[in-house]
Amino acid sequence: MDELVYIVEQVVNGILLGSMYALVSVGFTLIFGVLRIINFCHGELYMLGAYATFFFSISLGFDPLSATLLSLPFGFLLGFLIERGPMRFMRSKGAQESSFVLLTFGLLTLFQNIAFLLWGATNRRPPAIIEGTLAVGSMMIGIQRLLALVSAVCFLTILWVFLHKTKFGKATRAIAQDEEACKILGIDVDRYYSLTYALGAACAAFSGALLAPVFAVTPTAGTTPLLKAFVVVIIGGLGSVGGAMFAGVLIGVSETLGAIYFSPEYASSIGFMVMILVLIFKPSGLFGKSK
Amino acid sequence: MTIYNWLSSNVLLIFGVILLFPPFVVSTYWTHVLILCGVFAVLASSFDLLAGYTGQFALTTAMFFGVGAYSSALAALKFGISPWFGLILGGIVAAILGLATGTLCLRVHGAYLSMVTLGVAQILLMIVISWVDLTGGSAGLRDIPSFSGFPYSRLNYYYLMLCILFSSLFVIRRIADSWIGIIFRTIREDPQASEAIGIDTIRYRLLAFTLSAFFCGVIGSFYAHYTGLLCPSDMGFSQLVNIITIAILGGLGSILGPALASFILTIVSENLRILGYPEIRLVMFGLIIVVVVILVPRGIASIMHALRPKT
Repeated sequence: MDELVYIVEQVVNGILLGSMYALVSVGFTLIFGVLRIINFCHGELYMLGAYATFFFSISLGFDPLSATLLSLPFGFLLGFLIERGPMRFMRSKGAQESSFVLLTFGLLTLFQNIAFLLWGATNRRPPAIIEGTLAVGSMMIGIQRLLALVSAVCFLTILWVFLHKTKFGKATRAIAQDEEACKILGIDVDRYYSLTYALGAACAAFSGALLAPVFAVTPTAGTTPLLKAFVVVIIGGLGSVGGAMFAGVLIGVSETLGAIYFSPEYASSIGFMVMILVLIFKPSGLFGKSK
Repeated sequence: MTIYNWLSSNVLLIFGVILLFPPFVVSTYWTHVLILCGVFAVLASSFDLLAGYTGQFALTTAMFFGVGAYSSALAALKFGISPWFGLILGGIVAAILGLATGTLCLRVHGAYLSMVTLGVAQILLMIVISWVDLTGGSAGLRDIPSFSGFPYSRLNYYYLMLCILFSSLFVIRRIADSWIGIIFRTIREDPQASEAIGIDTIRYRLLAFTLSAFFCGVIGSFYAHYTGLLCPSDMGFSQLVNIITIAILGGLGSILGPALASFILTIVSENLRILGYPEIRLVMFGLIIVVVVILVPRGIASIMHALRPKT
């Protein structure tokens, strides 16, 4: 009986973790789908979001809730500046794909070192919005984790509605499908590039803000979310927002279960193994459209 | 004007000749830095052979490097195999792994290929960390024997590195300039058209993987026996970021550009030490990468190309 409770507890934890993977990955896949850039500094946007929350709550004395919510405009603004500045300039000069890869690599190095300069290598942990654990039967669930799940689900729902029901969302998805046609139809593609990148960055920063009280943050904390985003996005299909949500939860649950049945060390490579299997049998991902 | 022409068209020759002398002028610390530059130069060039020529943006260079290093180090530690033979052994083991990775990637292209290869590299890294009995886990291997019958000094290892660097660059460049290189570029430009004109794209994609992995393995083996220490982070994600940064900053598709970039980047980064605080130095380094890629998106090779006299 105890074992069963433990497994259920781990599945719940897996779903919580998975919802965060989904949130990080949705931003990543959105950026790839529209801008055709593999955003290698996505993990650093997550990391900076976490530090921003820490900064707002500890250094400026905001209450934890508004500090967490402030990470959204922070991520949005940062993403907007990155796209409006270097990326647009490079696009106007006709840079090739590998240059954008290098740019995101450069930003990765830059952001990591700025974080290191400002906050040092020690673990920083912003206060949780609500401390404590919730007892359901004999299960114990951290309230901050639960809150993160609820916020992620709300945010993803809003995002989904936004992408499917509003004019902006429809234009964004249209650009992902056929950029040339959109230009002909008079859509200001550049504007949507900036907004999409900013939105993707806000997703990453927000998930960082939600998870920082649980896992703490260091300047190199961005690597794991980036690698997870890779896996999730490939399994769900590059450019598919719904696929990223599904695959995020799938990976979260299989990792926590894998940690029980195999060993914790191998848990994080389970995602990669699933990814490689998916690619061998369905290279476009579970929800991707084959070209 | 003729002197200028000669200088600009022989930048690399001059650079190579300069490289022959530094150990007599600089400190042992700088000799060490230059040896590491050489290691990264080989890695960046072999990444270029794979990514810049066949267009397979594979994130496996650090893995090939690590596998070559570990196999050669373990062969020496467990079976007493000479490190000289280990150089070849490391190359061959890495090449076999390259062939296997390439086979796994045959169905995927572009961004998907990058992500699969990164997945393979992460799984292998996890195996290296978890298999404590063999690899020593996160603590890594120590006391790896150095090259036998070869007195251990920075100077000797510097010239050994130059030998490997020059011969690897020579071979990679010759391959890239030969008909094989032309086929590689044809595949990069249009895989379907290459198939249509009768190129066996599978064979050449695998060939690129194998060749690239071989050179990474050889230099990995050298690195293991030079430092005598090896840990999983040597083949981790940050190592990969370094290699690819160097390769793209050098300019993909030129082989020598990435090699040159390795030296320039490291020397710039080391000289930033005069700024004092190490944190500021690293921030400056990141800033330089961003600024350079914005201003010179096609890398150092494009500057060299622009300097070359028009005939």
